[in-house]
Amino acid sequence: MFGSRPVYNSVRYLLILLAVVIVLIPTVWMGTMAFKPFPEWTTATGELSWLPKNPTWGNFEYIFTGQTADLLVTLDRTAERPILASLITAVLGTAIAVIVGTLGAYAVSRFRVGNNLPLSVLQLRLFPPLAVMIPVMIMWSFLGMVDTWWGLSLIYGIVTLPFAFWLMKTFFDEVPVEIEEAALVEGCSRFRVFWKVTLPMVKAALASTCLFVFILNWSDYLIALLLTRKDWVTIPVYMNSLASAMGGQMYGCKAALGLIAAIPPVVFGIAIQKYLVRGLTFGALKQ
Amino acid sequence: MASIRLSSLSKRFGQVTAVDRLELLIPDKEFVALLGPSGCGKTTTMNMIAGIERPTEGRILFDDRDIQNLPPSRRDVGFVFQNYAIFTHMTVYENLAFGLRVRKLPRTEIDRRVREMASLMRLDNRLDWLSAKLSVNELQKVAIGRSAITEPAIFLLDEPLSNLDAAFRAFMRTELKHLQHQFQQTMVYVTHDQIEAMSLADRIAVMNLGVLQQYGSPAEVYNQPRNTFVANFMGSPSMNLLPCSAVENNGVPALSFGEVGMLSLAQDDALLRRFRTAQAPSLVFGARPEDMEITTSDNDAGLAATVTFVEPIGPRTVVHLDMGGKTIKIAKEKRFPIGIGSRVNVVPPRGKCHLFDAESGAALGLE
Amino acid sequence: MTATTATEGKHRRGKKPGVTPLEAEGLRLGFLMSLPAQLLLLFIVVFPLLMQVYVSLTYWGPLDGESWIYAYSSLNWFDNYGELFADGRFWGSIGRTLLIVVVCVPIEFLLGLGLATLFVDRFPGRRIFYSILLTPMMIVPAVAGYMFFMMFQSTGPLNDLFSRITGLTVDFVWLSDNDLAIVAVMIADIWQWTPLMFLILLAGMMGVPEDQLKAATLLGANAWQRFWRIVLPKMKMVMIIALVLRAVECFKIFDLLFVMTKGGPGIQTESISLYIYKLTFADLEWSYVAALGLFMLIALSLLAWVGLVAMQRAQARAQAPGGAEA
Repeated sequence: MFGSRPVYNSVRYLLILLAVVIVLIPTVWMGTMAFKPFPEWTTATGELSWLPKNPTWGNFEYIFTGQTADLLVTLDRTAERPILASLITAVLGTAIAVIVGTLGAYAVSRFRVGNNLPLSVLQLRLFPPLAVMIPVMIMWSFLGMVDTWWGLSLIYGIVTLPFAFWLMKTFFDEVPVEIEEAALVEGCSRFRVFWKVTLPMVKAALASTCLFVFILNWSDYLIALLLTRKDWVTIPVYMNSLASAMGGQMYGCKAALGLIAAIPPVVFGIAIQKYLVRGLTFGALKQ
Repeated sequence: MASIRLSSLSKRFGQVTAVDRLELLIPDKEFVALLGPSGCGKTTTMNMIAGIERPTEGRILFDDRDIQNLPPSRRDVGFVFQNYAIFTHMTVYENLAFGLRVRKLPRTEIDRRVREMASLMRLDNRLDWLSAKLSVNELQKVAIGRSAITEPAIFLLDEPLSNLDAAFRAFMRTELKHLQHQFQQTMVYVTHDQIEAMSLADRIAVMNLGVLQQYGSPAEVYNQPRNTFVANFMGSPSMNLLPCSAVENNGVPALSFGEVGMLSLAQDDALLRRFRTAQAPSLVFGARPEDMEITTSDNDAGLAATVTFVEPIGPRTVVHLDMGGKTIKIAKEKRFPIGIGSRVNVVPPRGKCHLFDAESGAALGLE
Repeated sequence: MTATTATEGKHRRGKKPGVTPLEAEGLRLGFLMSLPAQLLLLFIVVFPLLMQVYVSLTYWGPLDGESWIYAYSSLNWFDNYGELFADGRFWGSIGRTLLIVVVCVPIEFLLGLGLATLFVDRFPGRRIFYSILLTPMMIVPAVAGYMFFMMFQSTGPLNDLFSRITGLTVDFVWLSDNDLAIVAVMIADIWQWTPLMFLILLAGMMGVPEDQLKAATLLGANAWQRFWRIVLPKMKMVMIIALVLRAVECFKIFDLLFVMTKGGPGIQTESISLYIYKLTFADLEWSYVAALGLFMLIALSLLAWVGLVAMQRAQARAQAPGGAEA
């Protein structure tokens, strides 16, 4: 192929290793930072090292209890509540997107009802959210939904609806109609066929869709920034406020929080690897 | 132009031996069919000739030149895939021109040759079409034209007719034969269809389980099968093969078929000669369905059988008979007047019977 | 609005004679099942859009002390829109955003394509390397932004690394430097989103039929010719999808910027999203933001519409002469 095979193979490994190193540098830096005590954070406070010299759980302790031996300042708000807020709103948002998306996708896929949906939901992804947020913010405060779990979950459900809808539509399109027709001939109602025949057939796909949409909701920063104030701030918002409260940068503590925020999507992402392409391209591509 | 010699060629995929020490000489300008059931190693053999797969052992020579280290692109072989592998994103013209373009021929030369090939293939009015829009029959023609246009010395075809409808397949069979005369190339043709092989090839190489069973002209392979596999594989319906044992009946050599009857070899010199080369008493007797006779009279020397089923196929009638628990088939040109359940006598044809060793399956008394 | 009436139209047709009971049942169920999605769209598209148009024609702001309903009291018709065309900061932020898109997306594309070619055939370790290379795009963008915030500190690891390699004292103030700040942001964006390109392009490349590649080889094409004449043309659609997706997302860039530079130094890295954010929360100019947002909505819709039409044209051209699919 490309010259002789062994040469190509070693070049390939070299390039891939380079890419892997580039990918890992920032990740590893944050990962190890989470376990570094205060003096190791920057060259301003001491010598930099890639691995913590005196590994400590202090950073985690600090963000959860509000105090630690290293730092004199105490924290007035700890991390449990933002973590819980992220979790609850991401899960509920996912539930809304997947339920509404699945129903709509089935209607379009099988009955050709609601043919405006595919493009209408897609346009939800086209515009920068900030360009259309003013009326949403007005509505949310009008309806008393700012800084509430239901308000945030609802908007999460809406912005990830396109992904859920398109993913489920391509999955439904792949289920042969003949199977449903067989059940219809047996005398099942249309809804029973959907519930008892088709849905179980796309079970695995549905689960992947849930994980995928969860990742998207979990990753949000902007919407939480706009629609939460105090009680329901999510991890990224809380994380960013850590620094401003302290004056100086809280590198280790924020890295610890960042690590906690980064783990679920990476784990889920690897779990649904074979659906990622399909999800990210709204079902246009398969792997 | 080139001859192809395969010398002790083997291909193993892990534990599986796809091709086992194959020896084959394909002379220049000949049309050779690699024939066998699926999984017999014929496609692997072809891929090795093309260079898509590397042999585990053995050598491939084109005109006595070892091409082992030649990449597929430089072997000068044309290859027609079973599913045609037409470039769906190109027009017919671009498909035909592909081989010439990658060789960086002058534009005018490419144009001339593409138009020539198109008219030969009767694709003139399809040149601007995207190939994704063509019918299967047209795809087939593009596939052949695309490979032929570079004028390769060797042409390899992998079951090129298997996706076509019956009528077009028959048409394409004659067309291929014409083309081969025209191009004067060495053609290797992989197929599992013995009728295709018989009607097209100068020689047939019958393969099974990676092993070459027989290599010869269609007539040879049909009339003098080397073993029971070839005997059974060639012809439709296939040859009747009946286990029997060698005995002597009143001093005359004979074949005993147990309760079904006995066949005296007194009147059949050819069969007798084969019989004499037998090493063991247990044998397999073979006769083609179209050679066998059925009589209702008792006095004829023959084997007792019962008619179980009569199957008219066009002008022919295939009679299924039960002979001591084994089903045999006899093909007749005319209507068959005997009813189902009738007890009849089956008379093997004199001089057209085959005899095989029951153990090895090898034919007895072939020269 | 038009959305729902269209559905109802179909529903009504379902009751006409000539429709079997089974079909009617299907239409009824389909209507019910698509209802939540339609209502949600009505809620999030139609009402807000009307509201945005309304507010954008006024001077209303959240601190006016009166509900948006009474915004008409400060009605100014198209003043906001007039202001927008003279707003240098707006056009500057658009330009900066486009610069980021124009630099980052092609680089991400080329890097992704290169990586994809390395991964088309099997080799030991392929799965694990693949998984590692995908991780950046799964990391929460705000967290990724923070990673690079740390990396680019003048007292951070990157300068430390350069210092050690060169032996000099490297102390770039990346994020406060007028020119380097946007470069730092671009590096972060490329780091995070090259994997997405890689993922999509690899899927496309794996979808190129192997037999056609074999056929090309046997027709004498070398690796380079196969890549240009078979692989790339076959991936055209995939490449368009990848580029469009990334361009659309990159145009919205906010999280990385907000965490890394907040648009600074000055407004050197202010993207359009960031500018709008500041207008909304620092300046509280909501009616102006509404006008600005609406303007972008229209501009982007036009762009999308032109793109869609072009794509449909191309598709129609590809399907010009009839015949069976291969």
